[in-house]
Amino acid sequence: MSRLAQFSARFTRSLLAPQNTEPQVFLLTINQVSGPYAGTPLRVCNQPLQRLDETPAAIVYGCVSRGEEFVYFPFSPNIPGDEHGADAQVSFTLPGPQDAILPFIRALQDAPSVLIEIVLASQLDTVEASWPGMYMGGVRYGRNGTSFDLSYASDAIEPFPAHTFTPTHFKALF
Amino acid sequence: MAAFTWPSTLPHPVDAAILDGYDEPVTVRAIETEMDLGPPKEAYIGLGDEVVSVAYMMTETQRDALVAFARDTIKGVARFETQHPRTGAAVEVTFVRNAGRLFTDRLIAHQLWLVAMQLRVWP
Repeated sequence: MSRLAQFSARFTRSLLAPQNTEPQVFLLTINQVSGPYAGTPLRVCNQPLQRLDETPAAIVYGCVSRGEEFVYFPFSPNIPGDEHGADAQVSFTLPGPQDAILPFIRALQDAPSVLIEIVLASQLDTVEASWPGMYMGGVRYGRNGTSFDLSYASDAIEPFPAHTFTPTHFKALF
Repeated sequence: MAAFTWPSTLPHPVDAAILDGYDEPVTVRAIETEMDLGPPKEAYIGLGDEVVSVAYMMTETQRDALVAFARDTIKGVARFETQHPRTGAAVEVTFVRNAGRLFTDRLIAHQLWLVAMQLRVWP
C-alpha cells in the first residue's frame, strides 16, 4: 500500500494542491547511543517557523513539536522509497558552516539512530509519517556543510550461522 | 540581542530616511515546480526576510563614522540593532552586500553625501 494512503486528508491535500499554502516540515531526531551526547538528541528541521534562541552571534530559528525544539537547517528533504526493491538508503546534506553540529559529529563513537518525521507547519504536534530505526553513517563535514547517509540495519550482513556462513554456499536462500 | 547598535552619530534611522530612496518589497518564500503539462505547482514554504532599501544624507563626518561602523566594527556581516525606517520599531538588521559593496555613496555637494544602502531585516 502506498504511504500516501496513510496520510491525513489535510496532509494529502497539502502534497497534491496546485497552490499549496501549508508547508510540510521534516524533523530529524539524531540519537547517540553512547558518548558525551548520549541521551541528548540533536533535533533539526527544515523550516524556520519561529525564533528559538538569540545570542549576539546568531539567531537560532526552528520549530517546536510536542514540546521539543528542532533547530532549523536548510536541508533538502529526502525520505526512503516505499516501493518494492527501493533503495533503503538516503542522503542528507546540511549546508553551510555547522558550528552547532560539529561538536555532536566529532563526538560520535558509534552509528547514531535517526528518526525522520513529517508534520504540517500548521499542526506541528501531529506526526503524519515517520521512519524510525535508521542509522547514520558516512558522515562528511567541512566548511560547506555536513552530509551523511541514513540506512536501515541490513540483515544481509548478520553473522548467521555465526562466523561460518558463506552466502555463495547457500544459493537457494538468496 | 545583537551585539552592535546603529551609531547615534549617524542620521536618525527613521526621521532622516529619504523617501525618494526608500523601497520595501513584500516577499514570501515559495517554490515553483514546472510540470510536464499545465501550469507549475506552487508551494508556500514560509516567511521570507525583508530587504529594505533606504538612503540618507550624510556629512563627511557621518560618512566616515558609517565607514568605520560598517567596515571595522561589524566587519560588514554582523547583526546590529536599529529602528525600522518606516515603522520605527526596533529591528535587527544586516547589510546586504551588492558585489561586495555595503552601501553606495555619492558626493552631491561640498562635504555632503547621499548614501544608499540595503538592510536585511531579520524576522
